[in-house]
Amino acid sequence: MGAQSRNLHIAWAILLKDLRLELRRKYEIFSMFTFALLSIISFSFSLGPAPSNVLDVIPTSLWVIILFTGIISFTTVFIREMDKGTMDGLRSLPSSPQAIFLGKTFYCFILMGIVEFVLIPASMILFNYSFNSDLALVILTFVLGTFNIALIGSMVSALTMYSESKTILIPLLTFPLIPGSLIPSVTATMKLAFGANLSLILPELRLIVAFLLAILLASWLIFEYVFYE
Amino acid sequence: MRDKIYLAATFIVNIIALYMMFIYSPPLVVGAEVAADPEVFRIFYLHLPAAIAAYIAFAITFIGSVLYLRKKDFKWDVLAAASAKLGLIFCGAVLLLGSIWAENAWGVYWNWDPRETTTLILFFAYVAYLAYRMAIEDREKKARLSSVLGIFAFATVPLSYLSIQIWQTLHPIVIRLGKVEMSPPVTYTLIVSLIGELLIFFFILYLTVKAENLTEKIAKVKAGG
Repeated sequence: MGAQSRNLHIAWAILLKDLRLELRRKYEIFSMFTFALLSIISFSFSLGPAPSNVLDVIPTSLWVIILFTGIISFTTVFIREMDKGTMDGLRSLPSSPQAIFLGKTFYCFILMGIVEFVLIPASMILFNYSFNSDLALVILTFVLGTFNIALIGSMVSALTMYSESKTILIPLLTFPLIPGSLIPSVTATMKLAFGANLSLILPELRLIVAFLLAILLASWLIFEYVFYE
Repeated sequence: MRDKIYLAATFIVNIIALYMMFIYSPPLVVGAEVAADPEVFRIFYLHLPAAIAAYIAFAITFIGSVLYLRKKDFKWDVLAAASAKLGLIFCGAVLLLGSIWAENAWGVYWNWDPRETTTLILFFAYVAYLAYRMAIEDREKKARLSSVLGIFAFATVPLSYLSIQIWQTLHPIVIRLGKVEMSPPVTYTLIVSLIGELLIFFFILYLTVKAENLTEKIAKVKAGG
């Protein structure tokens, strides 16, 4: 087996291992679902009954909920490995640290994706709105934006596993790194809610992809300095 | 002796800058639609140099972080941390001076303009950098991991600088495609003020690095190393 395919195989194995663990415990995914749905309900308090400005507020507020829900998942990415004492096991795997980072990022992305799969339709039903654009564009925007958050979250999780005060440090480190992709994601979502086509959201998609590539490249180059003690 | 000459030069340049700011430079209103007190424009001569000093400080943190990861010499980590602290002070000054100018020009201290927002994000990125350093006990881990964060945090600098090109903004744009859109007295005053502020920045950076290195030496001696 070549080094490349071995790395991909290990990334895939780590993803499956974490998903299996999560399905067994269900603790984080349950917390994420509960938090997301409670947040949607809290928005109804601020909008009031039969609100007229739903399309202005709710689709873009989804990103706030997605971000905070993601922060809950970041503790499971690397911090859980450190707390359980399984980091040395990960370090002894015959793969590059980048493969492990990739597996963990996809795990975080899938967790967030599962929550969004329920959250977005639930918000559409509860607030009686729909995206007046191509479903493919809506999915693309959410996939790209969520993957960005998962990428940053995985790196933040790896950084904070060695530090004290993880609870406060995770959001403190995440928030300054997120806006580069969050702002265009929110803008694109707002435009899609009002029926934009691809050409209208292309500037935002370009920004999201540019930021994603920059963070991916930086993570790829320097993750080993975080991974190995 | 060299320190004293540098300090004297800094003092002289800044006295000249003060004269140019308050006497030589004419009062000005930026933008035809802005109903502002023209004298308040003089805040620009402190605001823009502070922003440039902050960007330079964070760039030094980035370079120090990269060099620490490559060479594993603590002096680069000391430089990165000292520069981040100073950068935060200058960035805070940018936000404060900008808010004062905004209140005069736009009637509100803060209106979530993209430039204001991204500069605030930049500020918090380096607050997070310093908070992260305080949360790690081990010296080697602190240096290595905060260097990684120092590299990531630098992404907020181009975001702040390019915000006026990416999004629509109320923030005045005085340098467009390499062309300076200011009259000669304003340009000359800005240049002298910038040199004065950068001289202050580099001197305080030099002192901070010197103090941090001495602190490390004392800690090493106390530990019996």
